[in-house]
Amino acid sequence: MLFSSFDFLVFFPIVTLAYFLLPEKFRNTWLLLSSCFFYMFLIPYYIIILLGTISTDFIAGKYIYKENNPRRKKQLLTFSLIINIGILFFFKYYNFFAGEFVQLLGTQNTDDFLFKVVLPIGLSFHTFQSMSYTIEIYRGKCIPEKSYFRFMLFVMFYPQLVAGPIERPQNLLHQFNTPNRFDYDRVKSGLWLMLIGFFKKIVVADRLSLLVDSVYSNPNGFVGVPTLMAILFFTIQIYCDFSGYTDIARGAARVMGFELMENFRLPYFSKSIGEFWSRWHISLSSWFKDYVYIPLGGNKVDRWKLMRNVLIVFLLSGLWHGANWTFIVWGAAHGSIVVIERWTNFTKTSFSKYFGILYTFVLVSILWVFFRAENIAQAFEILSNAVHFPKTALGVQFRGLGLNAMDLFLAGIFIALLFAYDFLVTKTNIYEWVQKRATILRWGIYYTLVIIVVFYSVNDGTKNFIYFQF
Amino acid sequence: MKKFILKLTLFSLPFVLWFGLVAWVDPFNFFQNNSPVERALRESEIRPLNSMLFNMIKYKNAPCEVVFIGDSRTRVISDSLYSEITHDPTFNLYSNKAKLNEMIDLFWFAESFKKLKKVYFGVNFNLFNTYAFGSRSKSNGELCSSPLKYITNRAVGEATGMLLHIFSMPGEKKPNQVDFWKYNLETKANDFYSKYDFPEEAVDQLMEVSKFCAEHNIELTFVIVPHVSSMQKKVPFYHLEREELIFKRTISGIANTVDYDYNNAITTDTTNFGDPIHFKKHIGELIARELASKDFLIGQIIHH
Repeated sequence: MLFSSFDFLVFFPIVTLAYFLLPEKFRNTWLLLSSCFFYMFLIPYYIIILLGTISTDFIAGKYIYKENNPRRKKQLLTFSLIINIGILFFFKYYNFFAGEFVQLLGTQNTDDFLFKVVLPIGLSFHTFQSMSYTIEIYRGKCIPEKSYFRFMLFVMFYPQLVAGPIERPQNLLHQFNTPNRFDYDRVKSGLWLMLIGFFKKIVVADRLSLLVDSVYSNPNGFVGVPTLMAILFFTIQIYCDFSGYTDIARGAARVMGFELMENFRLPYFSKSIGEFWSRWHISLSSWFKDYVYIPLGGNKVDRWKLMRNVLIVFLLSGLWHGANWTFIVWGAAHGSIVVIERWTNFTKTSFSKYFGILYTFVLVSILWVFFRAENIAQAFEILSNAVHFPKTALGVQFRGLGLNAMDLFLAGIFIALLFAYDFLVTKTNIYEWVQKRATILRWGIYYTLVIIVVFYSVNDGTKNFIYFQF
Repeated sequence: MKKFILKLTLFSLPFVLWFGLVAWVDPFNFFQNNSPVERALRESEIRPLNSMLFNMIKYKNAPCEVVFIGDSRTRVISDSLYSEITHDPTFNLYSNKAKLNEMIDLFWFAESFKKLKKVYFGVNFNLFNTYAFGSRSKSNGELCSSPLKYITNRAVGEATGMLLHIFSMPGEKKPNQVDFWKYNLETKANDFYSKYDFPEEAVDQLMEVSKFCAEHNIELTFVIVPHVSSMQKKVPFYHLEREELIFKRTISGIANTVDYDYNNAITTDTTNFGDPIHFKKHIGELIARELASKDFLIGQIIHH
């Protein structure tokens, strides 16, 4: 089920209301059933894969904890990781690697070697979350969950099931054991967060996607300003799409009394690429840091190994996003820039703060082209088109973009609103500021936001969240 | 919890009232209820605002076996005259400013409600262009399928407001219509022809439509509607004669094609047109009569 669909508008109040009306002992069961329904709403039978991963990790966790022999413990962990990564590999990477390998051998008909499977939604998210459970038990930082259903709920909790944040057992599991009372202020704060998320997704991201999709589906047809706008718009679109999802997820969880981790911390205000990665998709960055970077030696190795570790993490991060050379190049490019920044002590140089923000924003925008493009050639074509300025009138250049002048005007207004909001967030807690205002002003702000979200959304029910594909 | 529900109800009240009002006025006749605004007024005032949505809902409420699909030029082709001659219930599912990809979507929309017998696509060279792309059909289709989406839609809300305004001030005069003649010839021609690319995707989709029609015994016909000769001359002005030829050859290879957009008695007489691309009612009737009787005096059947 999509957060931005009308189905969710029905699902969410029913699930939440029933959650608070039910006696405490039935609440987790209700949440689990609701989460199963939420997941199965899209492709029902893929829940079998999810149950396979959950069962493996639940059993593995128990045995890893009981086992005293370190070698045996490691074997058990390896076994569970192989199962998880095996499933992930089969659905997400097999076709890519098999296709590349077969092409390398010079075989023309690659179809014979490929499987026609649809990637289960959010596979990388819930697999990584499930894996963190066994790894944390292995490390002794977490004890196994006694209840299979509670563990199921940890992996399947619907707000974060399909696109994160990728939670750690220490943060989320215990919350299912704590009774949640209806808290008026907390519910209000959760709904506010959801409203901001909806604004980002269906008002900003979906509106910008109209222009972005037109350019990326026909890169030959646009040069100069439209292409530059597509690059800029995608930078904003992906932020609004993914952080919008996270806001809705965190908001929905908060309404019911659960606190999910922060996943974005104003990434486009970063002063370096290294800093950008500490503010963008924080739950994934920290996952790779804790489970790949640090085990490889982290910072406590010589310079060359440190650079190697950084590159490995970024390559894996690129590959996590998808089985395509575009993601690998995107990850490698980010990794290389982080390496250069570390080498040159970039963050300690005396550039102005605004130069750092501009530098990061421009580089990140350019690299998003690789992320969005269908292949490397298309990415270079778009980058090349962006710096060619034809002499034809701007109106002609904009023909076929799928956005009229009014849409462009509204897009500009909403982007300005978004950046103003983000800028104010760096100065103050906007939610708390709103709460301290007089009722008439506070309600005026709520009404304005709801009216914008309801009447100015671009939601035809076909626009998925970008990160669902991962 | 009681306090929250009370405040939420209070907060939602204006929205509930507004949505109720939209559903009651029902500008696009979605619910087919007893709207306070009479149907004729809604048809004359609201259809021009979003003809695609209006016609989609109207068609959904009363689907027909014979359908005309096209843009504002196809609007003038008389479906009532066609129906009178053939005795087939006919619907003109036109949409102002429709693009070819949207027209294809309209075909699938029409087909989903009724087993079709005949379909006429009003197409012109200016639509046969990758850059002539529209994105309204899917969102309008969604509005047709969901009452919740319909009552919460901004355009439907604006139409409600407009209807209530007209309803409450019946004597108020509408602004005069702008003379589009010069605008269409210069600005529109530039808009139509200054950027061209063969629409491969649309051709694939049309072939899919054609295949479907063949399999389901639906008679598919493309009608190239007439432009005034001064507008026709804009094609060589933009060096697109070859492309126009390819356009006619391509669509005639997909389905039966009747061409009215060549140098003929209609196109050489400016009195037949309200502006360079929109022919008048009597020409719409002439085309409807020729299509219904299959007796073509001006329309040329293009053989592939």
